[in-house]
Amino acid sequence: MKTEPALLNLAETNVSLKMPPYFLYLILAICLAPYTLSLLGFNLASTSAPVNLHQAAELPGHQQLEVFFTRLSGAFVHTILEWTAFCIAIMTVFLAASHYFISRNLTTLVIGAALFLAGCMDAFHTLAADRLIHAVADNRDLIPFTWAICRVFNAIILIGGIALLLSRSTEHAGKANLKLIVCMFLLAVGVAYGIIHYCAVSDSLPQTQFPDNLITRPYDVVPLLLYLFSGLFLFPYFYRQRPSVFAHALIIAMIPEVMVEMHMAFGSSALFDQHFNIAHFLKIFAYAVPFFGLLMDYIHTYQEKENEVKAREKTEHALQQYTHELERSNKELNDFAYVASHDLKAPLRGIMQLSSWIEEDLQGKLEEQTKEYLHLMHSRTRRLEQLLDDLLAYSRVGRQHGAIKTVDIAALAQELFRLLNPPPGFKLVCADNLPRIDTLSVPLELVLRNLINNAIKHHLNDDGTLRLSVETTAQGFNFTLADDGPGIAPEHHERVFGIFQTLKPRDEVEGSGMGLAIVKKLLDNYHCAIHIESDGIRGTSIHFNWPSDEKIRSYINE
Amino acid sequence: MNNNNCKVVSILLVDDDDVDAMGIERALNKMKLANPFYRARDGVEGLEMLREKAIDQPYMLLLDLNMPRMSGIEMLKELRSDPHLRGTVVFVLTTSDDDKDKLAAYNEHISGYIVKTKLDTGFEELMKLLDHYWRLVELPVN
Repeated sequence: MKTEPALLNLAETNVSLKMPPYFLYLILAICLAPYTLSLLGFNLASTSAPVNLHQAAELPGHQQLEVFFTRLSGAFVHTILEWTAFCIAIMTVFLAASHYFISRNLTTLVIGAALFLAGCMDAFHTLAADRLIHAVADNRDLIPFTWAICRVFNAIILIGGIALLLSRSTEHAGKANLKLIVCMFLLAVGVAYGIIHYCAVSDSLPQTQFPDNLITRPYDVVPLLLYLFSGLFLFPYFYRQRPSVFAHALIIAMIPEVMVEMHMAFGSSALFDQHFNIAHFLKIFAYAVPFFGLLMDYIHTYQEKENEVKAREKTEHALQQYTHELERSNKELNDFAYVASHDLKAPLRGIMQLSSWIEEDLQGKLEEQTKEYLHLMHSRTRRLEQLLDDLLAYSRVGRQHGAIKTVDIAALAQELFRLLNPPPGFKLVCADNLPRIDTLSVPLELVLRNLINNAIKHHLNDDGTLRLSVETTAQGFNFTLADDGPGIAPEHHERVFGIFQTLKPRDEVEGSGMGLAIVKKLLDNYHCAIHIESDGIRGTSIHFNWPSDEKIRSYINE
Repeated sequence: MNNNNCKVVSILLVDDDDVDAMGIERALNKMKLANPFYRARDGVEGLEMLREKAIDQPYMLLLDLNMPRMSGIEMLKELRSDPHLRGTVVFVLTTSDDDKDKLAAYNEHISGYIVKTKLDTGFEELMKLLDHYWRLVELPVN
């Protein structure tokens, strides 16, 4: 088979649903690098000497500003790091939305939206810390508290998003799912706004930093545990359920997330210190990893679609070739049947003529036995000629439709019956309500003639009754021709439609065995079915359908 | 007055089948018809005989369709495009019962299309027909 290679190709080129391994190593290296550097003696904290405001007051204006800038370096670094993460969150949501419209994969949309919302919280945290948004509380409390709240929110919304996705079956990822997701998103927006509002207006935020304890920021233990749970259990489980490059990237993203929380929970004892800065730096990568995951997923989706197109093109090409081959072999078969029956007929005629001349010339001199031989020779050649004629007729079925005429079925059937010279005791009874139809008269006539002929030929008695009835349906007409002949045993009901199939020796009932084959081919041509109903003891009913007038017209126009 | 009636029509059979040729000769003998009988084995030979005027005028053609070298339809096309031969009276005598062949032959203005297998009593029937035909129908003389 030629389709197999195309299918195999599709499987072979199936791109892996994982982030490349080097990406994982890179992220690990980045996560460990800042702490390693700090161990090597690099100072990653934002240091600034205390400002003597009295001295500063004496300096000229631009130098005063200089002093304040130096003093605020920690806040600037904080802002830059936070804002970078926020920017990546914005890019992620846009990319996720466009990815959704291409792949219709809800994962990217939901997680993209969750990350965006978390990013917005981070942005609020930054703006409030920079006092660009009015907040009542002191910065020493506000920054660590809003940070912790943002981290918890971030972890919960990611877990919530994944849980939401897992609760919905992929099969009906339709409008209902999308509605639910929008509702959940709006709910999350409401919650986020509530938290922001509380943080901004509350003048006594709870203490979140305990510089002397082992766990310097206990509030960060909650997101730490959540991220550990996500990275170790939830996201890998999700990846197994809905494998995608993006889902794999989400697992990897938990590495920087956990590192961020480790630095915060166990390291940072003051604002803008070493661990504080490292945590903020690594948070960028916590956002960047899903972003790159999306990019990779994009590439993957594109490659998959491209492979699909290629495979389809291949299949189409193969299909075209098959059609072509089929047409050719069909034509060859037709030509063969035509040429064969033709070229076989010529020598056959020669034999027939020569034998009749021998008979003629030896008239009166022949022994009875020899006469009998010559007679048998004549009948056998006649039979062969008939076989060839019927084979030719079979090969011609479907070449031409003929014209559409109004056919009175009862009149047609009676005329066919008369022309077939039935024995005097035979009669054809037509049901009362046989319709007049506008249809292709030639093939219908051929079908009826063959069936009526069979019924007469195979009837054992000299008297018999054929009954023809037609039922009109929306699809067309259901014909039934019933006889009271010997019937056809059920095991032969299929076989009789094959070419050259007879149920009796040809010396008993002369026939080529092509009649029903021709009928079947004719009916197949108009997508009609035929079947035999008979117990093989008494009587046969042949049912076949014939298309409605409209259908016939559409077949011709095809 | 026409002189056709006193002149016996020649018959040219263009057919590759020897038995058919024998059959026609047999039928002529049996019916005691004295028409000169000529035989060509394919279209090429038939055309040669006609162009060399090897056949006594007036004549009728009995033409088979499936033949080696030049088929009957090809020979008909040649005949009809030849200014000297285009008026030839041609009966097609073939085993082919195909509507396409019939149409193609009648498009070349043949006088009749006879399917060999339908000649029940051999060629005698055909010879009777042709005998009547040339006695009643005026044939062209070049």
